[in-house]
Amino acid sequence: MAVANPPHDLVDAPPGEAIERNLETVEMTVNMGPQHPSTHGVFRMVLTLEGERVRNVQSHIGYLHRGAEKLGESGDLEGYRKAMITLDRTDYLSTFLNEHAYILAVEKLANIAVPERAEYIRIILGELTRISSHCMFYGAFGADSGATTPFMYAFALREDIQSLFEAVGGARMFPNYYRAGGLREDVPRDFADRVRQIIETCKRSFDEFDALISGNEIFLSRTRGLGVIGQERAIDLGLSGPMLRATGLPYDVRKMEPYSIYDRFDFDVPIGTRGDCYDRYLLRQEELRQSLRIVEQAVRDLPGGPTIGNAPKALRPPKGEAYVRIENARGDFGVYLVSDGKSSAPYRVKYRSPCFCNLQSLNDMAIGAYIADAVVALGSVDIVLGEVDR
Amino acid sequence: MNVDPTTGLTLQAAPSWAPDFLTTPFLGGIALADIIAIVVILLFVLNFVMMEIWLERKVAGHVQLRRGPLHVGPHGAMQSPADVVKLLTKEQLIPSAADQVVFPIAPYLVFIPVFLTFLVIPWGPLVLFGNLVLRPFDLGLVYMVAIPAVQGVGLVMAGWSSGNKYSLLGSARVVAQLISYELPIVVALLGVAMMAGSLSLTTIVESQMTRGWNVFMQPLGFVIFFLATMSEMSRTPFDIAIAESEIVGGPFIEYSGMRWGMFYLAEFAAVCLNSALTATLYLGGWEPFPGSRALGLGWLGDYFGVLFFLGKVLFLVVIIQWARFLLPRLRIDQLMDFAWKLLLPVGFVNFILTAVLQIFGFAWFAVGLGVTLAGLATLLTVYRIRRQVSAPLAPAVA
Repeated sequence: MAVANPPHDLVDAPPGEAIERNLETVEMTVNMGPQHPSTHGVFRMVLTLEGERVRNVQSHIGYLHRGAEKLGESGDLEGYRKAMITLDRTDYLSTFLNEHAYILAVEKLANIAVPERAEYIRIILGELTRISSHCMFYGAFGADSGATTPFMYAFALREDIQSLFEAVGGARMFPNYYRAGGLREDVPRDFADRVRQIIETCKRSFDEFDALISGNEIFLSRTRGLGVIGQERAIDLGLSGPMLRATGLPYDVRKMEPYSIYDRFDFDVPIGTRGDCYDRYLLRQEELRQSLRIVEQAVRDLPGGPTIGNAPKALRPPKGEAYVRIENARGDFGVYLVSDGKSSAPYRVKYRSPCFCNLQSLNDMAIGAYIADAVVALGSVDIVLGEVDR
Repeated sequence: MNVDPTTGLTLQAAPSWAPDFLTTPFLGGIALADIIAIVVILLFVLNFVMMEIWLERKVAGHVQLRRGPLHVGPHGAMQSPADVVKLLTKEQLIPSAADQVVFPIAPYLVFIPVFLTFLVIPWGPLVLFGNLVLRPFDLGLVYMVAIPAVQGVGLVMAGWSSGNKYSLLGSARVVAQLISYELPIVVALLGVAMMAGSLSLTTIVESQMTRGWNVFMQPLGFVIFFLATMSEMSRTPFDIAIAESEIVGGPFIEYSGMRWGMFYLAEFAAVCLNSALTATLYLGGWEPFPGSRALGLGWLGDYFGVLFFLGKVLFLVVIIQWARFLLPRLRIDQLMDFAWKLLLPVGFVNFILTAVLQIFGFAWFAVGLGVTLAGLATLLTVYRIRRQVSAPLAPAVA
């Protein structure tokens, strides 16, 4: 009831009650992002807080929307290559992996064969990208939980991998390196040696990563039991990748529907047991090691020969559609392409991006938790806003 | 030492070689020597804090596969003065939503108490410079707990007057944190006071020389005091009040220029202060190593005591910095649990054990041994219980 006449009301009320009535707690609305340091780019969430508790989360996305899919359809001169340029700029941490998905779709649409060597190089680059991306997660997750040092260790390793990418594709972030039927050009001569060097560095670094925070008492208490999502709920939300596997479901596109030549490699799919933030962290740590196993095998078996088949530069695939999905660093990434059979550019480009779906679990994880937990839970999703907003 | 007849407090013991005009009190008991000492110590502390900021950045660099400051002066040693000059020349913004009166004065209320507390620290022994402490008055222990608490008021003023929700959240956290961690500190200090039979910091140091350092006699108290003061300073892993990844700097968020710099100077000065207090209360003050007098090396502490004291301070400072770059941050409820459910009960155990053993008159050795064993047992039990709660660490493989 509204207080019509406060002084009178206070006098009339029995002692104690008047004070209680004036000491109501009020919910506070806090705007977190898009410039907040731990929203991983330009994500914005409006938190309704009751003290330190989060009562409601309202997500706002789209600050980085550039129309990547639509832009990919308008490549009159660049043809089917243009979509790859904009695709690189969506998930800028899974570049080689996403290029792989896109180029597989193009090859499926135009029915183009790929030389062995190109296949192997794609696998090596893809898995190194996964390692590089999980390093980024490791650093950012550490920073979200308040530890500053993991970021530096993760970036030291990332630096090695990005330098290799620069040597291979000419660019550190956006390689635009895959072509229908193979690769733009062959890798440098010392490629295999450099990969072997990186494998050695990785082995050392992964142990350091673990030693830094994996068993840390504070880190455990911050992440364990936080943001638990059950298996059923995860499937309902359409989660994929580490978010889904942390709930105990061994769902990995590389194993379920082996694409490219993933069926030739020996690797395991780690799963979680509780589906909390710590499981997601631990799972990615294990995936780092599994990716390394694949790289080791691929570089051991790397054949010689050409890196591109004899596909035409300007593609004009027959009328039809193709959908290809792969496992990128964040989950199940799908590319849907439609060709009208007349133009040299795709008629329709559509991406199924894992972050966008994974991000929907934020409300499940953050509501009822503390502010600090909301930040860690968001970090455990490992979002890339470029890909959510597209 | 001469005693003030009206208050009963001990006045400064001047060195015998000092001329009379320096030591004659002229203004409510303050002598010229006092003023000189105040100026010298404050200047020294300011410089020490600048050096400490540089050291922290160096430690950070070397922990984090970097090098830290390199280019201003040898190994970047002049980086802190350069930063201060930069901050002094920056514009000081006051947000229009802020309280125009409270906002500008809050940094001073954070800054001044820390520097006031330095006045009671016994820097060295009597031999050369008199007692190198400005006011060796008998309530030093109470003073050193009471004065830094004023900092909390300053932080709340800063957070509330900023007109920013993040800084308000930060100041709410500061209040909760300061109130919770004052208690374990006081309870831990009860043990120290009982061991020395005095509240004077000088006497506490002297008593450690005859009896052994408090870090061995009061290991539990030492751990509690060290952790609780770390929390009071809002250092990682207890830095929830400024938590950059959550509330983006808390009370400091709207500050700029030297006002912002004041907060950081105060924070680093607090690190130095609390290291100095820990060294005084638990690490034997200016004594070079335990039992130096028994070995006939008392002169070492008598003449070079200041150096040994500063060495201990520096050692503790580096440990605090090291922790900052290795540990994640606790959540607010975990922070409160840690104070109320662990530090405070263990502090009372320490207090009761010390009291009981002292009353029953065991040898000092037994006091130390008993408290040490009890402390280790408690810590081990707590650790094992917590470990059992945690499940295995490896992920399953499908």
